[in-house]
Amino acid sequence: MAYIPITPEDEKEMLKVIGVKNIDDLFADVPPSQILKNGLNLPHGMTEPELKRFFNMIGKNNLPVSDRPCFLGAGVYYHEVPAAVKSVVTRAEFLTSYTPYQPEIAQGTLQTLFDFQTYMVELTGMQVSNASLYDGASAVAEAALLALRVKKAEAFVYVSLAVHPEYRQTIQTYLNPQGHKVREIGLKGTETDLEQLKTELWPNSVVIVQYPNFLGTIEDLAAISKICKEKNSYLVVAVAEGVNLALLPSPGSLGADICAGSAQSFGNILSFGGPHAGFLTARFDDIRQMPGRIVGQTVDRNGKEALVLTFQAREQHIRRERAASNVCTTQSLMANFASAWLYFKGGRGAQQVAADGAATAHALVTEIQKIPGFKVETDRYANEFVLHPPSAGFANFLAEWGVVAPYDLSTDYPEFKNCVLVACTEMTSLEDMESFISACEEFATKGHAGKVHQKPSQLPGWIKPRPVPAIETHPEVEVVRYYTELAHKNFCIDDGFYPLGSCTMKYNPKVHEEIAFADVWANLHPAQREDEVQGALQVIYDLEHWLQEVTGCHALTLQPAAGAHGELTALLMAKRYFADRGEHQRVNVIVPDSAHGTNPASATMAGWKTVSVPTDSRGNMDLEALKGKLGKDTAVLMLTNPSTLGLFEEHILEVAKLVHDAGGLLYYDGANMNAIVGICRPADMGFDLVHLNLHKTFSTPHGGGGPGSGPVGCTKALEPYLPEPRVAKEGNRYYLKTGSPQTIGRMKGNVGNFGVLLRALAYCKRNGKEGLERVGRVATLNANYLLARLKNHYPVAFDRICKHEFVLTAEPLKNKYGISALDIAKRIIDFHYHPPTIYFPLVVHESIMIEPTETETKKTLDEFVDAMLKIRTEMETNPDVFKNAPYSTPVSRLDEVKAVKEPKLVKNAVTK
Amino acid sequence: MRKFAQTHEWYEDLGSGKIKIGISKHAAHELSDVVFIELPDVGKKLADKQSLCVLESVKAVADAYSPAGTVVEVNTKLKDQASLINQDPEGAGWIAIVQLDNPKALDAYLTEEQYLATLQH
Repeated sequence: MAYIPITPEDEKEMLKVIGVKNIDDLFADVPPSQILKNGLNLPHGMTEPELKRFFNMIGKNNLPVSDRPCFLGAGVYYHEVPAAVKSVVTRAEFLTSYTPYQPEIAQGTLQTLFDFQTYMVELTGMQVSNASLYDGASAVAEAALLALRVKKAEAFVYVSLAVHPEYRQTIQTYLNPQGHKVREIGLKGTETDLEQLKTELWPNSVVIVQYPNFLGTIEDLAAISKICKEKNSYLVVAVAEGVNLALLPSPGSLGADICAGSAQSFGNILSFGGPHAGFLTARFDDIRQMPGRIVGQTVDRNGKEALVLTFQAREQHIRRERAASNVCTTQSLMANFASAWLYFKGGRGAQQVAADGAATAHALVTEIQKIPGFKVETDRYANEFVLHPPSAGFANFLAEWGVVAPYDLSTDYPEFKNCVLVACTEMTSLEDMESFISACEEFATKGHAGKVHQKPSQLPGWIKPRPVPAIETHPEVEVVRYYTELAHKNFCIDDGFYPLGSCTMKYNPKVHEEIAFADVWANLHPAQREDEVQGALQVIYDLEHWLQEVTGCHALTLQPAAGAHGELTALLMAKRYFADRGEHQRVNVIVPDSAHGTNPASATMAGWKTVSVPTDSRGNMDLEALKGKLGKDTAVLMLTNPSTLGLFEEHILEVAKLVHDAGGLLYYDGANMNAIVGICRPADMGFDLVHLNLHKTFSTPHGGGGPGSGPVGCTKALEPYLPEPRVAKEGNRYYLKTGSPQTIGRMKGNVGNFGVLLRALAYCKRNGKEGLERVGRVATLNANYLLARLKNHYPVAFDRICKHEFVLTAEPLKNKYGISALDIAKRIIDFHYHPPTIYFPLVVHESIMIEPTETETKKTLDEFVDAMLKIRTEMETNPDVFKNAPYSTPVSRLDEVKAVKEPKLVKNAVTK
Repeated sequence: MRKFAQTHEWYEDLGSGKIKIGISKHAAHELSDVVFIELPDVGKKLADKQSLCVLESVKAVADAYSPAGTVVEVNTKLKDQASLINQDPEGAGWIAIVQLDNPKALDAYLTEEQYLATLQH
């Protein structure tokens, strides 16, 4: 097996320790009818060379932008990603570490995220920043929700038509279920119609504009802000082309209340549209309503400055249904790319990049306008403008000419039929400009432009560059050394065992990274024409089919960016489904009391109520209690199976029947899918909606808190509600399909976190049928082996055969020795392991949740047991050692109270 | 006279249907360092056992509840000194004054003695 090192001899020994005959005995709690008799109907696994060959072959069906003149932007921009940036950020210490919840062994990631916050605050002119969101579109939708929470009113949200169409669609998807009304503000030329805004704006509303807007125009933010202030309304400024923040006056300085958007331009590769970091900056006063993680500075026990995740009480894992948002895993690694890019270029370099793009665009316009019939529609633009060609067919003509054609506006903006949106960046060379100008001349058939003789550097006089952002520039060697030093402060999978319950921190194969950064995938733009991206569409199409077989689902979407995003997607589908059936009274989402915080938080975002069901003495959901909660008001039951206690829900078939008899839908939270891959399937058990975490089960790296990916599968009845676009195939051709009247719309920009999907498909193909069928079995074997070896030394919460993880309780130890789950977790670090998950699930006091995954050797498992036993002995012989553990880390335990009370959320400044 | 709720609030009868509300010493200890209190607005109408405010520590949040009534005053000192809740929960760390809809609402709550007895279990 490709990534499963347990040998048949190991297996035999381990089964003996557990006290069962074979691995199948570990699945005795799964109803026999559910066990896949013939396994998965999938192809055999590939060798690594075969895998690389496969991706090379289908990669040939892509035409990356890197070897042609590229004039395509429209929300995703082709900028330089220096080799040094890629090299340092893709170090295993950043790529394969978990979200930095254990600050003693995550100062590296925390520092890069703290840098990211600092840079975004400086660039946007706001006061506080979070540590990233899924992408630009969803970040702006979250910003709208943040504004609505602050306004505490049934406010209207006014969205300019000059906001990116995908952002607008995502805002609709996010706002509709909570009953918020979205109104559109039209255009005057290529800018937001301020007269209309002024006339129609109701007091206490929220206004969203983009800067520069989708059509390239630099909106008059000062004027818009004035209108908003007069009506006591909140101004949300969306940003898609981030580098312009280094050139133009900041949104904060012009009166923005919230700024949100995409940080892709800062060192995030195109990767067919994702993963790309989203950002959100705001005022300090609104911090408790902000979505996403926030890093703050504090001190450790020795008074040493250190960083920690702070203001966590806003988040779903603590506040559950009252959380500011359901987001959990976001885009840490992509924020890290942005940090490294900005650390390298500095404010001056970033301004230069923006100025280069703008100067090039203006020089190009000067020449094109000399050709009769061509007209530029945009007045005040930076690096992107609307070009009106003399006749139809210009975009097609350009594609045939050999350039990456600009975005055709005909569909999104009928008033700009046949027009194209031309983007220039620092990557646009003199030859590229020449090629574009020649194409225009050829298309017009008569008239000539002039020649551009040198790389343009002249900005139009009316662009008054903002003060250079206060971000220091560093030479390449310093970038590498800074990041290397930070990397040494992180613990990652490549360092050692990561028994982090509920997080499935398995080994991440190296070949995935080699594939994902190949030019044919990395430099593919999401808005390229379908015939230029056939390979990428095939990846999505193929992966959907693998996941269909693994889950048993009828259809899937790969758009959601993480698990919690998948949860929300599924709930919104259910909501539309019930609305279509006139069952508006179904408002309750039932969750077990052991559920992840994301479940109730997602229910709230879907505009529904959470109802909790207790756990019985065997760790199953209490069936009698469930019966009492089911009724005509039941919408969805959300369940992980195995549960967060690591136990298979023995009555799953009864549960499914009860929910369906009550007219509700059953939702599978795929957080714990790793236990049952290849053994049984959620859809067969009766789940109507299923989400998966590719960054758990399918081994894509966690990136220190994202990117993730949360595909959602469903039954045939729910298929019309899936988000769009979807990938379809006709003959040998793949295409993007839209137009289902029942679709919930868009959850984010582009097709999803494509780079993650690519790695997941590689994982599937390499494993094949036999490999995937072994995943759940060995994950469960390993967990039961650890449980059997530890249970005489540590009290177990539920003493029965577990699945991929199990829960210990330190409560008796705390009573006896005064040593808590936290103390034990911190001491484990000194033995060079990542601590297990602690204090979750909430239903077990002082819980310690251990998940070994299938990718560890028996030797590693045995060494871990030895360490745990040694720690157990220490409780009796040297209890004082726990007080100040860990001792071996760059910083000791942190003062988290100080982090909240004296917030320091950006470098060199006390916030507030 | 002070009454206590099983949800760990104390209610002090100020006469003419007004009560002062805070959380018990026990609750303050359990929450550990309170870092922020989402204070209600004066004039806010509360249904019976509705959340009056949310108290936030580093790793937990908890509600304080009130009988039905209207918020007439809040302890604005808590805005900058949330730690008063820990230092003096049953004195300077009071949260709000509420005008009760039903002046006899407190009758249904526990005496201090009864409340402390519930903590023994």
